[in-house]
Amino acid sequence: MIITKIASGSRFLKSFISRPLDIRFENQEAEEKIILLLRQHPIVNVPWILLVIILIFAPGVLKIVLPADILPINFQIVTVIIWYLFVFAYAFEKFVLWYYNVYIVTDERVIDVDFPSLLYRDITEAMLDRIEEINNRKGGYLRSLFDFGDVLVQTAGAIPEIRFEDVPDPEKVTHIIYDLVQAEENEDKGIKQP
Amino acid sequence: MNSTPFDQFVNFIVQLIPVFSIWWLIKLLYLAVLGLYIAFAVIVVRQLKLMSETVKASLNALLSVIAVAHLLVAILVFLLALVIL
Repeated sequence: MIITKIASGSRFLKSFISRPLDIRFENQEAEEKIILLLRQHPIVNVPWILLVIILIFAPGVLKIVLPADILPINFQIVTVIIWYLFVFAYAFEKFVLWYYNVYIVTDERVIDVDFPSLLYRDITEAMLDRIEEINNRKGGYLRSLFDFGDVLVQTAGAIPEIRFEDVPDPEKVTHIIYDLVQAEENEDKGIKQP
Repeated sequence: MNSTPFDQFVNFIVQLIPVFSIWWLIKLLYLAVLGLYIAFAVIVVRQLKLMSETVKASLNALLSVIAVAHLLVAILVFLLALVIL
């Protein structure tokens, strides 16, 4: 539990945000409220962070392993600067893609905002009244330890499934979406909410 | 005997070799890589604008500033390479 709390990050970097007040999205209706904003669990960032740490120290290690200067000093300086530019670009791209790949649950619909790379954007959404089934899947050592997994939302629409990948607390997410779907169904039937 | 245009071209290249050393070619390569990198940095700035329009979150302004600073650094490194290489 403590490990999960540490891994869930600071306020700005949280991957499970309930009823966020300072977040909006494109095409959000005036009356539409965000119930949940989810990102992949921060632990999925560990492999690229480790790689970046290795890449940061790589020029220094190479200098020790290969002491002979193949390049003149001016080329060495520019090479090292270019190296760190590439390392920064890699880390920045990875962070930005994690930060903006979000799953949004509102009181009207579920939305999957996906940026597979810096050049593409893919937004999938399903209205709550089109949702037929919600499942969650959690397996493996890391997923059990840090309490994250996939939530699969089956819909009756053109897009048969929306998948929330590696989100924290998938059971809680499933329950929240299920409650919202029930509330939407009751609203359609004209049953007043307590 | 008159030389052919091809011979003239080869002679021209041979004359240039001492002037354009291997380091001159490597400098060109470095500048080409940095030119491509600047193009990438411009794409990052534009894409971040699209991302922040899609999801209006608390770190939008900070990330946009970092992206623009990254583009400026890329341009400065290009100019540095132009001067010192």
